[in-house]
Amino acid sequence: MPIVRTPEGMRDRLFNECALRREQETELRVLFEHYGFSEVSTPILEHYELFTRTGSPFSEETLVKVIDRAGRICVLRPDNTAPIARLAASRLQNEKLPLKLWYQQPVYRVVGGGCAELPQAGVEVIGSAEDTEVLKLALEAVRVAFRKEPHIEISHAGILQTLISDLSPDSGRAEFIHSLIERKNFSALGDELPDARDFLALLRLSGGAEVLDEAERTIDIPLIEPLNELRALLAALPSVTVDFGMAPAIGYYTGVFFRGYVDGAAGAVLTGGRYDRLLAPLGRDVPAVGFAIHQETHVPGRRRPC
Amino acid sequence: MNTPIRFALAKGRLEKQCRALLTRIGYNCAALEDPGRRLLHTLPHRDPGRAPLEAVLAKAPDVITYLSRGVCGIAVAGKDTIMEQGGPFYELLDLKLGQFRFALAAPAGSDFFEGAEHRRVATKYPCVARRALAAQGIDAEIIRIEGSCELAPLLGLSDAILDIVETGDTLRENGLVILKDLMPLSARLIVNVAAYKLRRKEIDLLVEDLKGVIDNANDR
Repeated sequence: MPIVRTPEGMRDRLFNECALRREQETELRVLFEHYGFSEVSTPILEHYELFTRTGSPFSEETLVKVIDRAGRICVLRPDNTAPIARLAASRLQNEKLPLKLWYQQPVYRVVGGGCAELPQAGVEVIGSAEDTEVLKLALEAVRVAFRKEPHIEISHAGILQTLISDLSPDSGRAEFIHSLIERKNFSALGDELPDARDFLALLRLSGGAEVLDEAERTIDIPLIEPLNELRALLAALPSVTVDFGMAPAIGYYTGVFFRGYVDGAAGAVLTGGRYDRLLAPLGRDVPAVGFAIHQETHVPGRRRPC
Repeated sequence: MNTPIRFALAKGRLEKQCRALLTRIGYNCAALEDPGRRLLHTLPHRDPGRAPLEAVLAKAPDVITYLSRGVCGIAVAGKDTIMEQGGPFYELLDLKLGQFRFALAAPAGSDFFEGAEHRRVATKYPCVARRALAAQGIDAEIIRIEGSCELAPLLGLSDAILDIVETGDTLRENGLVILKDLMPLSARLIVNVAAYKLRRKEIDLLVEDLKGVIDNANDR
């Protein structure tokens, strides 16, 4: 009987798991509120257009859809940034900037054959052009959430955007190139872009501040501004490194973006960055930056069952 | 003592070829020569300063699962399995092992591309087949088969097959001809995203070493 089972991809959380989650939530709350962030919560259902109009990087088939009474398509929120941007452009439109908001609520995406419920906690700073404080908070949030030292890598969306448009492929091909960069598939990239040796050399660069000088030497297109932004961040946060071989969905991030890893987790436990074009389609053209901690990422040895 | 890097390897032909490559870049693969029933093997490097590999022998699709879930840091898998399963990992190196390709084949003399009949394609790679047929503008039913796809048209189960092809001998012996070569395939070194971030220097060193012996093999 299906009534005694959860739908595919969904699961119950029992006892100790709930206790650990609450503990993690409490510690993150203390941290975020200490830094002057206020908690918000948004509904689980949002209009489909909220995500398509703001350029969210989720393809149609990853969204969990519901039809409302008027026949309009709603989705279970696939991320927290667009709903909070909507809030900033509507009920909070007369509040003084910057708005410093934090949240703790799951997102829902189609994964494999079912819908996955993925708990997230994070912050959004709306109406600020400053990245250092957010990145510093991201480092601390990973430490608090996973009790491990994070490894955070940063890059700048403007760099890839400038270089790919300079190679002038059509948008379909640019997307394909992005997917090859994300997989670090350099043999296929070499076949795809046989004349772009400098570009490919840049994508392989990763490391500390010395990498930024090397990038400046490698590329003859002016990228001074993005490189200087990265330079300032590395100077303020010496444990952070640069990886020019990161290529998130085209057009979502507009400036600095970052990903965080901890020992034992299979993927990034932290993602974030600057998205200055997200709010304009909602009627409030202000810059914004934020990050999300992916709480469910399995990290062995974080906390043992009591 | 260096923490070993866990390395997943598909059992079978690919395993033997990988063993040769690993031996040439300095790993002692004696443990893999006669594995018995053991599935985990430590492969020390001749330079004691380098981390050993902990080899995990597994079925090809499981290799991708281990890697995506982060229980193995690096793996060797065929491009066919990578395309079918996908997943969030880096594809750092083409090992150029195996001269295979994906091909669409049908009984000689049949007109798969013509007519208004309902078409059926048998394959071990339903995801690859769905994408490839869509890209060709072919609307067909995909029938999943676990092995010996060549049998499907002979039994009247399908009108064509999509499979990996090396020499094409098996196809010919079963009266099939290639309608379309879809893409070349070879083995790849794939790396878990987080493992690469946390052990980049060691993994880059391994990749450089492998690249050296692969390029040499191609010069000869």
